[in-house]
Amino acid sequence: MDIFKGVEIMFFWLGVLSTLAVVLMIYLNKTYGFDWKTWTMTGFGAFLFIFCVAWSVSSVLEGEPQAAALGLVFFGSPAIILFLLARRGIVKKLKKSD
Amino acid sequence: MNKMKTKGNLEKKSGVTRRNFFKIGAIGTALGIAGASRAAENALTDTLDKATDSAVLKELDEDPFDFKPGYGYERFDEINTFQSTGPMRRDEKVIPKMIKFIWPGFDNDQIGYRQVDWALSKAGQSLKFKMKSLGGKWEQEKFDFTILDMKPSDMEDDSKEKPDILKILEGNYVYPEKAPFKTKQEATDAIKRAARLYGADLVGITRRDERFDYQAFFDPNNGRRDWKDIPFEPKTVIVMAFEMDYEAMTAAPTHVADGATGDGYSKMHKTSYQMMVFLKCLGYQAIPSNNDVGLSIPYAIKAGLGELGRHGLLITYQYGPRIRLAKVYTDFDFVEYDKPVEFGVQEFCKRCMRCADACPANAITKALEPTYEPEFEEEGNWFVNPGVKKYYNNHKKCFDFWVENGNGCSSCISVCPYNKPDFWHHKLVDKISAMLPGPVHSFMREMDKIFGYGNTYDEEAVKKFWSRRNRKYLGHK
Repeated sequence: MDIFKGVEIMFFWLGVLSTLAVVLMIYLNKTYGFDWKTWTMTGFGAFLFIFCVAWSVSSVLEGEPQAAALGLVFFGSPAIILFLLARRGIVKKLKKSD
Repeated sequence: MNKMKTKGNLEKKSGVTRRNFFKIGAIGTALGIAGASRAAENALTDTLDKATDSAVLKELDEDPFDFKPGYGYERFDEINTFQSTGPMRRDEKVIPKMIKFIWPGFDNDQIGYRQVDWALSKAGQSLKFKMKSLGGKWEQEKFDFTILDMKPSDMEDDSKEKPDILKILEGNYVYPEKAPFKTKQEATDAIKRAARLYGADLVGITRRDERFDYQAFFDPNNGRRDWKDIPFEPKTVIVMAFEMDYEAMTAAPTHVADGATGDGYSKMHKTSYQMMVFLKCLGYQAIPSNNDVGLSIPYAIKAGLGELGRHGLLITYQYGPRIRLAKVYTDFDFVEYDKPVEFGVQEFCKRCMRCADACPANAITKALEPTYEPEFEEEGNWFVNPGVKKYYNNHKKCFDFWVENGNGCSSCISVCPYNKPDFWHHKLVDKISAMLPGPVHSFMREMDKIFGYGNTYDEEAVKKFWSRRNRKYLGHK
């Protein structure tokens, strides 16, 4: 298509982002020790966050700003909620161990 | 204190030192860079696409059409289609409407209907009219090409026949030797590749099916004709789909969207004519067929290009309804015939109804299930052919809006949730939708609206179409 461009660049950054997410999760696991709930929440949260970026950037590239904004709301908000829940679980665990 | 404890835990538990952490980071970055390559992109999108296609896209062995005896289905007469201008002969009231439709004006104060928009529409379809004079006549007249009047040195004697190579260019000539294809697949691949080269975006091949051939023909250039005028007995129909520009189509129902429609028509005529010559050069008879000779949509369904939607249009897997169709009838039958496909359109259309809601003429039915005859009462329903299960729409109402609007509308194409640009996330949504049951389709329809797709009468869409932002065709700028 002669009109849209940039999807290749988006996939590059998605690759970087995915790798950083995995590295960060490994790092946090080694630091705090994840249980299965934390793994689920951070894993699913990271997936949703990356999907949110992919969706919204793609929508901007295809010239649909409303779809991009709604993508942030529908996929970005659950990702943030999951991250916050995972953090709360870790904080609770740390408090207990103290 | 806490920080110290944490760092100690990290090294003790895992042995992940700072150096190791950077190593992991370097590997990660390398993976990220790998993700940047086209190959990785293909791996992410195309491979995923192919892997999930089989879960959604099903080939059918049985006939996809549900005919019911007793409803009076018979082969349709081309004079009864609005496209043929046949209604002018059927209904005198249509004549002034048709004249108004063919010669619409423009209004420079109305975005989408200005002179520049009107020019786009008219120029888009201009090649259609040029090509129709060539492809619409099944026995071709000699072209006015200088090369045909040239006399090679060995032809100084006028009584000698011209070499075959010159006759081919006249369009009538069928090369006397048939191409030596070893297998049907080889022949099929050659036909499809040639069609792609000449401009088709999708190609399917099916057997001729008389149910979908017009019983008689009509067009304003050539008048009434029938099957006796076709110089051979067709055995095979090659069906081609041509994508129409997404951005222009989002501007429906303005002249800008009509520019995409018109350009689709021009492509149809050009490619079907070239395919006719290609087949004749292979040694077989062929005629190009656009909206004439037979019904394009049933043939496209038979050839596996897509499914029938509520709006009465073909919905393809790749482009949704944003396509135009052309055919080539030929007596070549050493080919692999395609099978019809199914990917959930019929189920989705039951609950979606975006086209019916958006239709400015209220011409599209809101019946939940397809029927064997129309639900509307209209005096002289000569444009309806009952007896096959589908959604019956009121083409008189549709055409009246075309006249009022000054172009071919296309709102039903623009709003259809299957009409999306070629981006990975739309394919994903289509597949999820196809795999889930009915109530989810209503939700998907609402989400499509909320996400801002499928607007009509959108001035911003017209402005965006003419905008110079993000254009690859601007070269280095």
